[in-house]
This record gives sequence, structure tokens and C-alpha cells, in this order.
Amino acid sequence: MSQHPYRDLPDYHFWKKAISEQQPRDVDPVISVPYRIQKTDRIVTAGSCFAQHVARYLRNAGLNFLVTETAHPITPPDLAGQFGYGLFSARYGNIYTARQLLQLFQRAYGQFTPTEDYWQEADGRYTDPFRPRIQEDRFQTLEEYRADRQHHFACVRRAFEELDIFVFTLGLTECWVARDDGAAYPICPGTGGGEFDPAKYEFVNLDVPAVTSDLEQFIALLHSVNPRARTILTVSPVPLVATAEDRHVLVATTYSKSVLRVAAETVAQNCSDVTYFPSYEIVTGSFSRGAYFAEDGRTILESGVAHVMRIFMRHFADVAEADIAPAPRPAEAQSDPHTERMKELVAVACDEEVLASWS
Amino acid sequence: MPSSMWTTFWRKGRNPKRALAAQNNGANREGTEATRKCPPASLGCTVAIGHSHLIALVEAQKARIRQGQELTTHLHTILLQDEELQPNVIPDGRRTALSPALRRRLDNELAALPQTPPFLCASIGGNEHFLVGLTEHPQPYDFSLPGRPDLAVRSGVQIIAPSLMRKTLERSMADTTLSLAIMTALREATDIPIVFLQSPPPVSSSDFIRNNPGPFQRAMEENGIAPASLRMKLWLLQSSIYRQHCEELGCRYLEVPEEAVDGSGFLQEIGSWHDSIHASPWYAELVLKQIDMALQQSPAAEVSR
Repeated sequence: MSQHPYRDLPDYHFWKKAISEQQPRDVDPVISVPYRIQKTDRIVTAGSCFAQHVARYLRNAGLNFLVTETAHPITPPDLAGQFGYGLFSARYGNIYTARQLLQLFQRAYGQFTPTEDYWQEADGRYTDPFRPRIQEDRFQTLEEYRADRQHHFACVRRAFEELDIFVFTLGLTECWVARDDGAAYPICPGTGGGEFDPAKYEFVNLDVPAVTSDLEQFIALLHSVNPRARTILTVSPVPLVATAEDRHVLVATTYSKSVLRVAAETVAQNCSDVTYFPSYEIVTGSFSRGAYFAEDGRTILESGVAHVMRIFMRHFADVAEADIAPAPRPAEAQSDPHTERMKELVAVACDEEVLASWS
Repeated sequence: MPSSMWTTFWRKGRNPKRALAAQNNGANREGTEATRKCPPASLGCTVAIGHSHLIALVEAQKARIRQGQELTTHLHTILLQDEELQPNVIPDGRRTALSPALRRRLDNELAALPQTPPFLCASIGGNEHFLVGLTEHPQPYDFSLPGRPDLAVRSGVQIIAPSLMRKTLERSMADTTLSLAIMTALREATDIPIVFLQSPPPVSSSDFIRNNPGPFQRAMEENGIAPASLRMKLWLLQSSIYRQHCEELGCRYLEVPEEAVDGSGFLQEIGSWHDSIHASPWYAELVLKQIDMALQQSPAAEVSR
């Protein structure tokens, strides 16, 4: 029998053995990872909406998910979550593009101050252009907005400086930026705050060199404040909700995800502390025959997220499958000790009021 | 089964049998006396139902009796902390209803009246704002109250978004004390109009609170007293939630008497009781006068029993 390069390759090189002969839930495209995440390693997450799932599973698996920007203890966790607390390590909301991530770092460290500081809405309230949906009632006053942002930036800096592992999920290449200084917004101005003005904003569809450059700049900056930081890049499998390009949204999605995938690969090859993890492939791979998507063909079902995180935990962490749970652990529902104590004391006061009257 | 903060507390054994007996005897005695004194045609006779803020009204009514005043208002009281009335509300499908015991007590009190009253008085909850804002929190916080820029927001503390603060307080009123559920269940239990009483505002002076600590002395010593502006904002926010709930229920929300507060809306010190979270009989007398007036102005009830 003749020798050829494929002859003695392991099974994972071959579609038939790696995919066709596997049960869909057993497909595991990860061959090896450069390190294992220890329980003591502090993990910070950021990225598009798919990254919220990653954060949820990391936390519930008992890994050290670092949250530097926490809600005040008197606020119930589920309500705090509605205001962007605990979804990521800090309250930055969804970061869809590498440009946004880079600029978040630069803004937090005072290296970039966008010309557009805030959006004042018709009702007089203020919106953070870079976190437009972080709280439903926006900010009542400019002072409140600036105080919150100052606190937010401090929490972002702390997250970058204290993390051991940074997990970033790339979501989009399409974005809207300010014409004057290139400030990148998470969503198009006017769609979730602010007012769209074509003279002020322009559409940008980042290409491979741009995304690669943004990511590499960010990695360098991160290392400048935290030399031990290691980064895991993933690409969100969630299709674009809309495209500003004059093309079909399906075609735009393929282009966008392709750019992100190539950029992630490039950065992982160029930077020794960066690893690529194939979330995109696990969810979108043909082996699942679309089973990981909801009826809208866009929403990722919990089974898809679970598959991704099962593979992630198997390779990166010593977490048994039984311990990989999407639901919050009961400890998260614990209430504030101070409020509990005050409940007891107020009840005592009310009791004494009754006893004093009736006895 | 729903269990409010008050119910939970009483079930922990803090409700001595003697207190319960005294309470029942007192309630019966007071109720009988009031009923006996109700002229058959009087409109100034109704049922008052509620938590601890009701006590000041009872004390004010007792004072009127002691002073030999001609009573214009006769309140037949139902104290929701009464152990026999626990739980106050029970699940009823997807809704919450008055428990059979409370429903029975309400029906009995109404039956004892000479005629259907123009309205019921209710003083439900009202102390939720103190849970998060009487003493300083170990992790100090503040928030801005929409429409009240005069109430300053502190710097150097964690700022909570106004709507998150509102939802937090609302959650406490709904799930911790069950106040909102009790109000709804009460509304659905009777066709008689209900007037819900606003709880008394906080006093301004930290010194007054420090000198009238009630059971909060140690907590105050450890954490200090929350600043007056925060205490006022929390009370205003709580009142706003109660007011909105009353509107949704189609009920009147009787605001605090103007004479009871200072120029900034804080309770006058004479209106506060020894624990700084309840009102004095002086304050309650002003509320009784409001009720007197409302009863006198009310058209004869057309609601049949």
C-alpha cells in the first residue's frame, strides 16, 4: 500500500470518523489546549450576547468568574441582572466588535476620550453612547452618569489587571463609528438611544486586517497592565440581526463570521498567550442539522450552549459534566445580611408597638 | 403559602401567648365598646385593618375615649399580626386571596356595624423603606429620585439606578411583607371602598432618631444613621409605589396630614414614636380627623352586605 500524508493521521482528521460516525452530542472538535484553567484562576468574560451564556456556565460550574462591578447587595440578583450586573465581569454590556473592546480599554485607562461624551434624550435624561441599554431609565443627571461611568471604568481596570484568563467572544464586524474620532458604538445611534445623524456617524464593516489589528493592539495593552493574562477567543455563532450592507443578511452573516474566524485564527497564531476555541463550529456545524437553532434560525438553544460549554469544560477545566449547569446556584439568591437584620429589627419594633398597645 | 415578614417573625416565637391573649381581649373589648357606642344612623363607624401603624390610631381613639370626647369616628380594628389571622393571604389560583380566617374576621366586624360603612380604612405595611434606609448600610449607597433634584445624591458611595431602586423596594413590598398582595386581596374581598393610609414620613433629625432608637440602637451604633435625604427619598419612593397600587385598585390613598410635617416634608418630631419608625398618638389624632372628615363627607353607602 502506498504511503501518503493522510495514511496514519488520527481519526479527527477525517470527517467520516470525526463527524459521520459520531452522535451529534459527542462531536468534539477540540484536539488539545495549551493549559488547564485552575479553580483559582480568575476568569473575565466579554463579548457579544453569546458571551453571556459563557459567563453563566463558567460561574455555575464553580470556576472563579471574576466580577468586579457588582450590584449593591440590597438589590435582588435577578433585578440586578436586568441592569447589566453579573452578565459579564463588569457592567459594559455587549461588546460586539474588536474595535469596541480596544476602545473600552483605552477609555478606561484615559488613552481615548471620545468627543461624544453622552446622548441627551428628549426627556432630558442621559444615555451612555457606549452602554446605551445598560439601564432602562438611563441617567437622571449628568453628574449621576459621570459618577457611574467613573466607577465603571475603575471596575474595568480592576478586571483587566486582576484576571488570569480573558474569554472574548467576537460577534460582529459591522459597526457604526463617529466620523470625527472613530469612536465605535455597540449599536447604531438612534436605535437604542441618541439620534442618528449621517453627518456625525458612518458605517464601517471591519475586514480581517482591521479586526486582527484591533485584537493584537488590545492583547498588547492587556499585557502591559497584566503580563500573566491569557486570552481565549471564540466567535459567536449567532447570525446578524440586520446588515447595513446592501446584501442579503445571510450573505452578510457569512462574510462577518468568516472575517472574525480568520482574524481569531491569525491572532491565536501570532500571540503565544491567545487560544482559539471553536464555539462557532460546534453550534453551526452541519452535524447537528440545525438542531441548535430555535425556529427563527438565529437564537441559540440551550442545548447548543450546553454542547459548547461541555467541550470547553472538558478541555480547559476539570469539571464533571454533571456539574455543568445553566441554572444559577442557590447561593446566588442569598439576600443581603444587613437587610435581613433590619427586617428582623423592624419586625421587633412593630411587635413592640403592638404589645405596648394591647397589653 | 404566602408568609409575610411579620408572619415569619411571629412564628419564630416572638409572639408570647400572653400578648396574643391580651391582644384578643383588647380587640374584643375595644370593638364591643366602640360598637355599643355607634349610633344606629351614624356614618362615623368603620373597620380599620392593618399592621403596626394601625396602633397609633387605636391609641388616639383610646385617648379620645379617656378624655370623654364625643366620638365622631368609631374604628373597629383588625390587626393583621394577630396570630389567628396568619397567614393573611393565601394563593387562589394565580391570584392571592384573603385567608378564610381573615375573611371571617372582616365579615364579622362588618356585621357588627350598624350599617355598611362608606369606606374601610387600611394601613398596610409602610415600613419597608426602613429596611434599607433607617441605618446606614455597611456599603453606603444613594440614588436620585426623579422630580426631586433638591434631595441630594451623595458622592463617594455606590449609586443605584432609580428604577432599580424602585424595583428593589417594590419587590420588598410584594414578596417580603406581602403588603401589595394584601392590599389587592382586601380590595377583591369586598365591594366597600377602601381608603389606604400613607405611612408617616421619617423625621429629619439624626439626633432624634439616635435618642429614640427602639430596637435599632446596636445597628445604629455599628453603622450610623442614614442621611435624612436618603431616608426621605426612600419614603417618597415607597409612597409612590403604594399610591400607584392604590390607583390600580381604584382606591383612595390618604396622604399624611399637612400639619404633621415640616416645610421639607419630614415628620415633626412630636409626631414620631419612641422607636423612630412609628407615629405617635399626636400624629394619629391628625389622621383620625382626616378620617372623621372623610366619613362625614362620604355619601351614604349604597353597598349592601
